[in-house]
Amino acid sequence: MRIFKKPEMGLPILIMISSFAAAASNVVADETGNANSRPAFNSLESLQISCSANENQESNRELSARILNLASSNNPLDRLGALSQLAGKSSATSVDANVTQRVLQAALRDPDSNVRAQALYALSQQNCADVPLILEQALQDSELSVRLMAVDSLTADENGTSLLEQALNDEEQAVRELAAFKLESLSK
Amino acid sequence: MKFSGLKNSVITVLGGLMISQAGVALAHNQGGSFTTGLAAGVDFYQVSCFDDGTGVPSYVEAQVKDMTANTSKVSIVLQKGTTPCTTNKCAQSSTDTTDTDAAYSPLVRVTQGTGVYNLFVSHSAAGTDSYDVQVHCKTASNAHTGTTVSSKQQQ
Repeated sequence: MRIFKKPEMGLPILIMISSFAAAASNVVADETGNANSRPAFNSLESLQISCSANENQESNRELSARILNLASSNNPLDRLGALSQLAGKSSATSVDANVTQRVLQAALRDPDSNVRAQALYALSQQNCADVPLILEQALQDSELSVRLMAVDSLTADENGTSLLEQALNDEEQAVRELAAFKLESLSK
Repeated sequence: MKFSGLKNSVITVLGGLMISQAGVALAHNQGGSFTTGLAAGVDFYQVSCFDDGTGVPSYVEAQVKDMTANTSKVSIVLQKGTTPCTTNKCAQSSTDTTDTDAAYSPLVRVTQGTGVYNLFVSHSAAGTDSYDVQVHCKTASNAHTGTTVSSKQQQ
């Protein structure tokens, strides 16, 4: 795992999708134990992210410490809570960029698929690098919750629309349903 | 005192626990998530209110916390009986519109006495939302009394 200890403001955004082929062959255990038509595959495992600070916002130390503490918990619900708070744009901008990056980086490799999914949404609300590429990769994940959150995080740009159209062919009805809902919303 | 339960579990808390001294209210927390992810998914619980020695139940109050930040928002509907709904409401709903905080939705109350109340949890869009519902049976004097929660449907 590579963590950028001190992201600088204006730091060129960097992402290493180290090897899609290698990641694709990296089969992980299905923690739900549910039968799934596609092999367990954590699409986010090999990702490296880089988030930069909002130049106009001073970070809130107390909030940053609280989120870091929750994100370090053994309880997945606590980790989910930390990421939910990061997903709030108003609070996220006041969380230390270094903390944001550490929390998100760890969450993308979390054994709990709901935590990984929430990390995606939080990532999409941050000033982080190459979010569209990450979301595109997440659409290949074996976990429904991850693919659903990837669809939910897509935006109205050309690439986002293209990926939403791609998601209309997902094997799960819920993903197709959400993609259709988003496309309809974006067209209004 | 706080109890957390998994899906399909039955949580029973008996009155008479030594809570009054510390002034701590009993709380029932029922955690769950929409496993199918479908927008039409509804989780259904039944809340039984009985006199555990504390007093005869008068009403149930409930609220929900949407633990997943996304487009979808989680709501509950609490319902019991069909008449007379004019004097005391038979059904009330509550939605957690801010899913990026640790706060619950507004507390709602249905005053229909002893018996079984229906609690429906739904969400506004597709997503595997996780949620936590707090539910209490209380006497007319607002004392926490016998409460059980059982899961009937998970979607």
